[in-house]
Amino acid sequence: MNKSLKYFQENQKWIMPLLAILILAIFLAVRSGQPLLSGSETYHHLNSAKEITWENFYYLPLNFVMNFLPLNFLMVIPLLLAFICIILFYRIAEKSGFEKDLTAVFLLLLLFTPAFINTFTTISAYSYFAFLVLLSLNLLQSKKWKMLAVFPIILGTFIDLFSILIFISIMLIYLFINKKNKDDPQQNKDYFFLIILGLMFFINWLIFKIPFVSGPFHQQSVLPDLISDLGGLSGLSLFVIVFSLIGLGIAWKKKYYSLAYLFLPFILFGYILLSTQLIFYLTLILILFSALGFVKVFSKKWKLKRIKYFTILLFILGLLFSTLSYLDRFSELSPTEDAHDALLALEKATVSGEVIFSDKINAEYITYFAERSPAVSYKQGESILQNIYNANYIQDLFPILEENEISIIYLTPEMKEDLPSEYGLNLLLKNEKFKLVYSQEDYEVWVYNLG
Amino acid sequence: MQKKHQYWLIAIFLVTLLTRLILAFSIPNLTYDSYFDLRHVEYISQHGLPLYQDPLSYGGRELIFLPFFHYLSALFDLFLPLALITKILPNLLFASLTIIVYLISRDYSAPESNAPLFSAFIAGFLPILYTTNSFSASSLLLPLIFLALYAFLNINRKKYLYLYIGAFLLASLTSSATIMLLIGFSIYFLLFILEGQKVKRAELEIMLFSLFFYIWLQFVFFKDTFLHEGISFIWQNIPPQMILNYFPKITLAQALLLVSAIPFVTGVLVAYRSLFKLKDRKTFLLISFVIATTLLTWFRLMEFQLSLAFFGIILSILFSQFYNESKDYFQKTKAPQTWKIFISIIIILLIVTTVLPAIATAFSQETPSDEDIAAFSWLQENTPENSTVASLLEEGPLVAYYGQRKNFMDNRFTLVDNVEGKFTDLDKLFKTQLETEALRITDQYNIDYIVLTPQAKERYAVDTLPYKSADGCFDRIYYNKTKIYNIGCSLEKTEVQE
Repeated sequence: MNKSLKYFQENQKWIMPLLAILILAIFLAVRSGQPLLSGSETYHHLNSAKEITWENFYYLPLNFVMNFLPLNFLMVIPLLLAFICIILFYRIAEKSGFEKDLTAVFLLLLLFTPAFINTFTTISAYSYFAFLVLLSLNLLQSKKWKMLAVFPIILGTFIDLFSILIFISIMLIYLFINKKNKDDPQQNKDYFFLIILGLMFFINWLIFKIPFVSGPFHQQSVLPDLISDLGGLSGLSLFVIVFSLIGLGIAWKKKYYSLAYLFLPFILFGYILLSTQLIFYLTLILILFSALGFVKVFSKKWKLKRIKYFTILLFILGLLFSTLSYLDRFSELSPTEDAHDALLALEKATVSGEVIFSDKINAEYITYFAERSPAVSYKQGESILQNIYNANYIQDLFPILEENEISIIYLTPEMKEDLPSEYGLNLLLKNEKFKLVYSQEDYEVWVYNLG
Repeated sequence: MQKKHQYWLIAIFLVTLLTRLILAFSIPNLTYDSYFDLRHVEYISQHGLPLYQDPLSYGGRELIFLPFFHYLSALFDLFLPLALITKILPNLLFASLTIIVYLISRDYSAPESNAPLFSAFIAGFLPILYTTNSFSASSLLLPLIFLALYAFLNINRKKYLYLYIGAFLLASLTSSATIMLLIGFSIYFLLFILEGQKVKRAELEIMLFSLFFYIWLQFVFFKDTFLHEGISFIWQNIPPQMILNYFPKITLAQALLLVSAIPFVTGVLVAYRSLFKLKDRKTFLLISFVIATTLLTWFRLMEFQLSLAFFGIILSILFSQFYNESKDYFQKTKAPQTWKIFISIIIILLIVTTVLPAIATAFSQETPSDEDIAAFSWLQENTPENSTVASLLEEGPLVAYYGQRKNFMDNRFTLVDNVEGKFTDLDKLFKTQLETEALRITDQYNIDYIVLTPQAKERYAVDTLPYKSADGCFDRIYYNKTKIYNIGCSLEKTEVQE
């Protein structure tokens, strides 16, 4: 084996976390000059953590950090989570005897995948969940601290019900792999944790009423959200998906890895039928298959040696291509600098309690930056959005605005592009009842004279 | 190769080429679509780089295409006039299929068998390929794909490996339709798994390499298209109203005519025997390609004309197997001499079902008349440089090539915003009775001129623009069978009041 490859293999448990930090830092750096944290989900959690009640007490850690750190410094949270997750993952891999090659390929593919980058550059429930699961498994593997696992296990159940089911499946696999003696007291403790997970599922479902899948936080679309090269919010490289298909064909031959087949249909159905928010879980499972495929294909001796090297090169180029293409888009993710300025202007131009109409994608930003109530969000107001978008006459538009007490219209360049220029809202805004109070870089704030 | 075969092959090649050239030169001008490629070849000849920011198509937009065919044509342009190249090069490339098909068929036959010659002849006169006046990348793509296929069949020998790589790389740089080859490989792989057989390792390796190279290259060229259009990039942003033109529903009789009845029937027979009885590796590969093209056409993922051409060529190769099997069969009967009668009948049938429909196909190509071209050329001399001209969709490339003016629409739809709306408005421009409606459209898209060709008149059953009035809004400035109108008015906007 090549010397540098050998060095990498032996020291990967330190190189990988640092590489993760480097990649994520590059992504955050391209956002300099604008809020470093992007995405509706980030601001949903920040909004939720502003005030703590008994119903959202699990936001307490975030609330605590928010009190000490300004917004842009909050980016250390996902970075830290990524760093710790990889270290915890290596500890589990070592104890469980995972193959070194496979672990390295799995993590390398993961680090360059947009779904991972998106999850660990934003305040995301799933990055937190990944950390809690890995921490639980680490504690479960230790005899001394085993009982402490109860804390991350309980905390991990407040994400959504789907994640609890994932957690339960992971625990079952853990128990299956580590089954020893039925009378072993350590083993019995593991069953205790499983029971806790089951109980928490019902408590969260019936008392806290947490959703089955969190979100949505963006306009969902199954294929583009899966294949990052098609312009979705995150997703995976098509090259990784191709290898995951190869991995799917060979995983059944490998002990324990065949268990991954159980996850795939469950997550895939969830992804397609419930929410593409589950892309992070789908990514993990597909990358596992992909790493299996990659190791299988390239660890064999090829008959056409040069073709082998060229194929590896193409794969690496393809993977980097998807990552770099995502980097391009990442800098333009909301909220941009212009959007940030417009939202601050929105705050100044309005008084507390005013209701603001904008696209649902802007709801969390309006709540966080302008500290005003949006009329439309992913959870409510779809009909208001459609009615206002479809209004062609002031007789149609004014009653909707008055009925919903909307006094401000916040338009973004994306909304203006979607709206017809010759008729509809764009034309109706020329009515004397509307006053343009902010206009910069295609962001506009219009005040509607209610009553 | 036997000397006798060599002479016959050269003769088939020359007859094919000559027939094609005679037809190409006897039909005036090129097919409408060809003028798009022609303009880009000219640009490459002059500037050395492809025109990816096209200032004339759709009034100016980004237009990415795979450039190898254009570069190859530009290379010939260095020592031959472009007018000659547009007629000679595509026909030379199509004629070269006879040689490639011969080589592939030879691998299926005994050295002394005449079967490959029959296959070469069928490939040379497949009616679907007789678009002799079309100057497009598919004339290069098909020979390259079949050359790659030939090399793949012999991949264990080093020189064929290089041949495969070369042919595949060039095909990938010529057209995205190279995916046919990859889908064919995938089906071949699946057929082998279903049969419980093992695919050769070298074949697997080359398939994987091809797949990655293809995907990577498509990303390099079409990154923006993928991001902009998402999964719809497969349908090239074709407006729904036009989908049937690109992916028409076709009857069995039409398909028989276009790929010729004899190869079709014999191909089906061979495919049946190979799939369920003989299970020969090479035939499996060819049948995989038949399945691939059928699926791609069925799901409307590939342009109909191209997939049928691909299908026809494979059938011509499969014919050699039919020839060999039926000859063997006749030799085993009590009257082996009947073979000669049988093959004579086949030859007559082949000539009737290939040559005649091929010539008919050539004469039914849609090309602009000299008079149309004169009208479009007139635009260049008599209209302001920055003006926009509306014409029929297929005439868009003529506006840009001969008129050197911005067209309102042409038939390259990728990366065009609201293509469906534009298409509807173009249709309205020729159909509407209302002058205000026409002015709304011309205002919205800044259209300065409308060209009404005899083809447009026939399509919309009009003789002049229906809303042409006496107020000078639509001035006829070019009088002939083709008419050109200058738009002299615009609608005034009124304020919306409560």
